[in-house]
Amino acid sequence: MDKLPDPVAYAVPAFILLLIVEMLVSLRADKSRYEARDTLTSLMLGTISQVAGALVGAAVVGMAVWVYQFHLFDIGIAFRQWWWAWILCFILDDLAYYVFHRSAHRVRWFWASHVIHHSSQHYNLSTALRQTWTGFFSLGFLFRLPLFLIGFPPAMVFFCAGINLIYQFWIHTEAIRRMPKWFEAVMNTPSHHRVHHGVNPRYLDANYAGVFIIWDRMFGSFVPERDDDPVRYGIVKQLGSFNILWAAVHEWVGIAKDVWAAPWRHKLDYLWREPGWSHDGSRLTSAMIKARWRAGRAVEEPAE
Amino acid sequence: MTKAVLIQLAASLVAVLVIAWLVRRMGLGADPRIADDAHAIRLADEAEAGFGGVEVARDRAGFAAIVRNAEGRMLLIRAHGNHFAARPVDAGVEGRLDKDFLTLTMPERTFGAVTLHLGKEAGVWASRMREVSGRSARPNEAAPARSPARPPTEYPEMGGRAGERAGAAVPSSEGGRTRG
Repeated sequence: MDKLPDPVAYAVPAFILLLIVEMLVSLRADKSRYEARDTLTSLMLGTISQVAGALVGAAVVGMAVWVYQFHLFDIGIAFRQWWWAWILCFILDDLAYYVFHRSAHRVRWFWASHVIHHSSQHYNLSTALRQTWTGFFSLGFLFRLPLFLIGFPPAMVFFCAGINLIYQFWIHTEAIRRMPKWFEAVMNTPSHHRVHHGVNPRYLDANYAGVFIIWDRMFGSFVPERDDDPVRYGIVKQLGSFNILWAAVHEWVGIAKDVWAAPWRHKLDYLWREPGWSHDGSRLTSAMIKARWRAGRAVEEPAE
Repeated sequence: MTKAVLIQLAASLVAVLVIAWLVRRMGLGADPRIADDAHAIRLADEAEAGFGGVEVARDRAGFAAIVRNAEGRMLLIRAHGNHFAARPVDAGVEGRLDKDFLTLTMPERTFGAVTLHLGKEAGVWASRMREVSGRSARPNEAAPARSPARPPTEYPEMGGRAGERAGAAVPSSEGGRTRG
């Protein structure tokens, strides 16, 4: 397999520098954007995520190379000759990310791994680094396999995925309100991604994009940020704890308990149905929360 | 793992600790308090859309509150970092009354125990917790110790074990132990 550098490793110093810059901005603008224990939790989760990634990296690459042997088209890696393939690979990888990310919010099995990233009630650059430990276990890497089948070399795909990840770092901030209109129309931005991290009923299950917001616009999951509904961050049932291990595994524990307690015919439902689903209707899914919120507004509005 | 990965990991850990220390050193953060009943009701609605709180028991210092809705369901709201977190007060929650203080111990250990200074209202809310569970109060053999110097709401991340307070135990003659 061709070898390319890992762009994320090169970006780490910039991540740290930007974090400090954002902290300085927060010091002047709004001190509550940061909280020491929250930042420590986020960064520790990120660091251990890197360790987990290093431990399973070889298996992911091995699987990619194995799938690649069945590729449909011969695509080279030299940028001068294959520049269009690089662009296409980046766009298709971002589409694969969109599909993965949407599934990560709609299927509890994938959510159990992804929830770590959403478990902070803050939204700052340290939140971007709050990453999963169990991505491999939850099989999130499956979503990229079609790219290898098409014929994009694994090194190219992994490089594009690294650039995608780096892009998503800077959008985790409240320091930037809105980007220019043309940029907001095409690209994922801090404003769009704030909505994604929101727990306001209006904002639930929206804006799954990685780099290009066009996927959300195309597939009906786009919701714009509204100044009259400031985003509240986190998860529907806030963790209420800075325990690192609990942040990493709480949803897996929840799944295990639910599967154990459920009647046989519903056990698998607790794995593949949406977060919040329950066989006896005792809990609320995001769709139910939205419906309840809409019903409440319908009652309030005529009275106003 | 290769040597390079281990060096990278060590450097990351140092960077993490330095940044967390910087956040504290720079004085970033907030001291969230529940300002009044309306604030508590709003927080309950944010925690559970359409909760519709009608009555509030607010901790004197504003660290926590219990909000009750028209159906009689209750939500406990407490400060968490710069924000708030909520949990339903149901049959799984253990309540302990100690004069003006009501301590709720949640079944979820990581959420911790919350002690609310409610003044004369504490007994009323302890009774409401008993109503939720339908159990009668039991004598309080081990009421939580009281330390006026510390905030009345404590969580595991604040350093102590859930439900544990500094100072000597103060058994209460009117203390009741209830499972709400």
